Amino acid sequence: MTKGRIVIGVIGDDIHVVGNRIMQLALEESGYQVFNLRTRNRPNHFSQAALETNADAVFVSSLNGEGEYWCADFRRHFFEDHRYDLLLYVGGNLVVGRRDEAEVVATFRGYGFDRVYHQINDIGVAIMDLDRDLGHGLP
Amino acid sequence: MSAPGLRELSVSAGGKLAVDIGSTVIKVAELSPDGGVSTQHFFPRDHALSISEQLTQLLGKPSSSTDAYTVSICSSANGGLRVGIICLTSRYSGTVLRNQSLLAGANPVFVCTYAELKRDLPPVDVLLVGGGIDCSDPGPIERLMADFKPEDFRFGSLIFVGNRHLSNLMRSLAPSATVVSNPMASTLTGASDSVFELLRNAYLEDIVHKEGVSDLKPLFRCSVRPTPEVVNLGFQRIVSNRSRVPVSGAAILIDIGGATTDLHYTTEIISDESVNRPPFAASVGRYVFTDLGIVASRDSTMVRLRTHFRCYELLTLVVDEKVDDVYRQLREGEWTAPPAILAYACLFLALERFARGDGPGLPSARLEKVSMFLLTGGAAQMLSEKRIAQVVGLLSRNTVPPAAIGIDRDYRIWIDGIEPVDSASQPR
Amino acid sequence: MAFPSSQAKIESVEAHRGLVLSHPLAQAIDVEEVRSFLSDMPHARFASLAFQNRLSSPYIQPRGGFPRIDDQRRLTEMLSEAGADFIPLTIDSYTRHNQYETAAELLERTEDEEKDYLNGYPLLCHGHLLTRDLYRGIDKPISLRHGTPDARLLVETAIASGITDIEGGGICYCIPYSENFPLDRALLYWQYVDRICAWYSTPDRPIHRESFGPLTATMVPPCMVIVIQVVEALLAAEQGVENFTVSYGQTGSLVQDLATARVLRQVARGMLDKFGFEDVNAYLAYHQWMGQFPSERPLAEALITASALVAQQVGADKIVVKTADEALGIPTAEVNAMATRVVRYVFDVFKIEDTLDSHSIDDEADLIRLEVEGILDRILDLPGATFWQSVFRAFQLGFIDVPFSPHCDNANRLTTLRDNNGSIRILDPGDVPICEEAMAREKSGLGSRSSRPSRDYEAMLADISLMARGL
Repeated sequence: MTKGRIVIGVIGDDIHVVGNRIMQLALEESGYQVFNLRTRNRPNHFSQAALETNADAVFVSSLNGEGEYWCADFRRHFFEDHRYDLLLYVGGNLVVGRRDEAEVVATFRGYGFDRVYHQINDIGVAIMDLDRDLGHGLP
Repeated sequence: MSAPGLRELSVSAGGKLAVDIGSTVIKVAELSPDGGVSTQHFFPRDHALSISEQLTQLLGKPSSSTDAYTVSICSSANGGLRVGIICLTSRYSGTVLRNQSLLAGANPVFVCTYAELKRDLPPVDVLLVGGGIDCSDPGPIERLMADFKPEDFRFGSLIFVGNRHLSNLMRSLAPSATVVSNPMASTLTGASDSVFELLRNAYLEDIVHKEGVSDLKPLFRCSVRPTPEVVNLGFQRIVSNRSRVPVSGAAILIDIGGATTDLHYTTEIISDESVNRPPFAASVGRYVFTDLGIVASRDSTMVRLRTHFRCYELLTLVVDEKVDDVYRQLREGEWTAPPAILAYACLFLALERFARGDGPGLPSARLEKVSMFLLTGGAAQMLSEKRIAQVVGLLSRNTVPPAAIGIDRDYRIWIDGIEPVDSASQPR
Repeated sequence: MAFPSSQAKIESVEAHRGLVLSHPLAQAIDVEEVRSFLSDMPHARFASLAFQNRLSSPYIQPRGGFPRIDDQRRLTEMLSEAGADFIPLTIDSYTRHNQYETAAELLERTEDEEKDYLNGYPLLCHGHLLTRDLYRGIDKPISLRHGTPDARLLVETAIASGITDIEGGGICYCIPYSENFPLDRALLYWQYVDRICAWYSTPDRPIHRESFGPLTATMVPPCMVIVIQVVEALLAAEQGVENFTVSYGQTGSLVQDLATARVLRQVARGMLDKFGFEDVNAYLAYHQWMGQFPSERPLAEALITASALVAQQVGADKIVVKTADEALGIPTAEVNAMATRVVRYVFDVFKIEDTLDSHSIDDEADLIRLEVEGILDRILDLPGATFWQSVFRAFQLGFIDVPFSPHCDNANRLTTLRDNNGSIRILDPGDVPICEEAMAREKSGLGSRSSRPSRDYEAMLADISLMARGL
């Protein structure tokens, strides 16, 4: 029995595959069913995939700093499906250049993300948050 | 109308016949044991007779003895197999259902999501209703599906191909619905060919009742397949060097018909940036332009041509009269384009839209990667290789090499596709 | 079911060639003129002849490709002086993806602004005549390195330029390099490449083919590398290629490196013989660590030094060398020349009489052989009118599955981890047909893991960057 369905993928024209694949394995190992959109995604790819799979969470990654451009107003893409409760996470190298982490987090929270992991390499932290947010308690 | 019967075709017992039923022409080819074509005949479609009546007249009533000749039939009569698709999202279920329909030789007339359902959609032979992965907590699709009213649509049969946990809901909404396994299963890209197989065998499995076509199966005890599916298989054989038609590299095959223009392509020409994707795990794709054709779609082709910003350039290449006069008359709607000009227009418009990915579900292509453009079908016979090359040249930048142009003058491609094929050429 | 066979040789290559060579960037290559050009080229320029006459140490091949001819000439001379035996020509990524117009635009910009906008040599923009000049006076084989699924025009131009070592293959240059290029198309295009390499070959001046074993260079288990290498050798042999190099990348474990070399060599020879290709010469190339490099220079140099020793120990015919600046971007000509000197020094100073042998190497080799033979048997059993179709089917079924491939059709179900020795172990075979006995041995290797992260994905992350961080 799966703990939940998670849509993951890399946004923008970023083609980093290793981190994406590791994230899939990490989530699967933690008991989730993963739908991996892989690379070169646009915001509506995530919202459409969430609708097809009735996902519990969407995890967006971006490693080349394009995230800020593509993620603006991200949650809006989910409104027309009435998925107000859907968890939205984002992680990676989210902005170009050095910026204060708190500022980056605030920006992406403003875009509608529930959790923001800027330059945090440990996927384990995000999975623990996911467990908690989905009511699975601590692992 | 006098037509030769079976004896005049002199098919020997144990021989093989291939028949292609089009809206205007019936093609009959006698195949030699080595897969070659020994004779080929063309008969105008006699609309006073039903298809089965005309075919019986042409071929005679097949005897029931076991050593009788065998017949393989494909049909694109009556506008081919018209399919309507209702899906959950355009990118996932919409793409899977559209691509499987296209490869099966059907013509998707509309693809729309539950959220954008509208009345007055055109009538279809098959209405596919799908969406969602197979899961017991389907989420928003359940609410969206509840708004679906079968009486708003005109269809021959309704097939449910969505989340299997919603089959009962669909049966309660549409008691006549047939349920087929969800091609998505638990993926977003398609896990099985259930819709491809369904439509490819639609004539056989009594899913589609086409006047005249459905009677053929009991009469000739043979398969009846959609012609575009057969042509697509022929194209697959060509591009994998398993045909007598030589092609090197990426290729596009265009079949300009009366009602539609069919495009078959090798998927390596699809741009990495293309929003729409070609069929998953297949090296050959198909697209059909239902508004481009030289007879039934003549008017929509003319409108497209007249309003195209490169119309004048195209005319300079293909009309023999004074271009300015023709252009003026065309713009004023006074010019009756001859069939060959319409065919060039279909070719140009189809390729130009393919390059931009301008069509529902149509990927965008890098035409400069194409090393051969092939044309097949009746309309292609009116065209010249030289002019086709010029039309193609309009769409490629100067530095690009002239791609090879081929016209299937002896109608070889559909015969390549109708012969039994090995398993490696199947999609997926 | 179809076995590899010389019957599969494409007969009608001439018709296809006309179309390929009609491209303006082919600059009207005249194949007969190329033949006579090759027949006048010194024997020292032919990779296959070099391999036939190798003495003791592996040949050294550095890397490098620059957009401008002058820079490439300078690199070539520096590498040659530093002791390189093979001279590389690395192609830029636009040319690799057949985007010649973009390559041409960026070359123009590079020349105008005197700043490199391409990551390699745009061979088609320069053309075969200028490239012949580039190698005037160089008496060493040139090796073409690219990553092109459809390399027909590129290879025609390379051979016309006098390049006699052609790296690549339908699988190894598609699955690790491309997101969308259909594998069956790539296999067909590489049949063409193999066919023309054979077509240009004469007994005393053969064109050499080489496969690329490192693949994604990320945790690919040796059995998968060997299967792909052997399949590509057989596909080339079908088209008449008689000199072929199989290769693999440093695994991160000395035991596994030694065992891989042994099995790769034996199975390649065995399968070629089995299908009637006894005349095909097979060689072995070893790629220095292709994964993430340490960013500290001394550590990077240590890695280069150590892996040079390994290459010598496995008896490689050729080593492909990395640089101390690998972690920092495209290395300069000087850094490439320095790495070449380091490897040359190791080879000159440390002479090796016999290759190492031990029970653990034997056990490892037995296990890899068991896996490779099992997978190859299943591929050969698959339906298909020709061998390449069975290979394509194997990929569709996930029998061939390359970890961390960007390709959209790759199965991505095979997962691996390292054991305590740094050897790559199969954690989950996915759909790759690996027998229970082999899987039991893989698992027992992992069972002894100690002081490793408890979660598989954490271990995987550590394993991927083994050399960058240390165990």
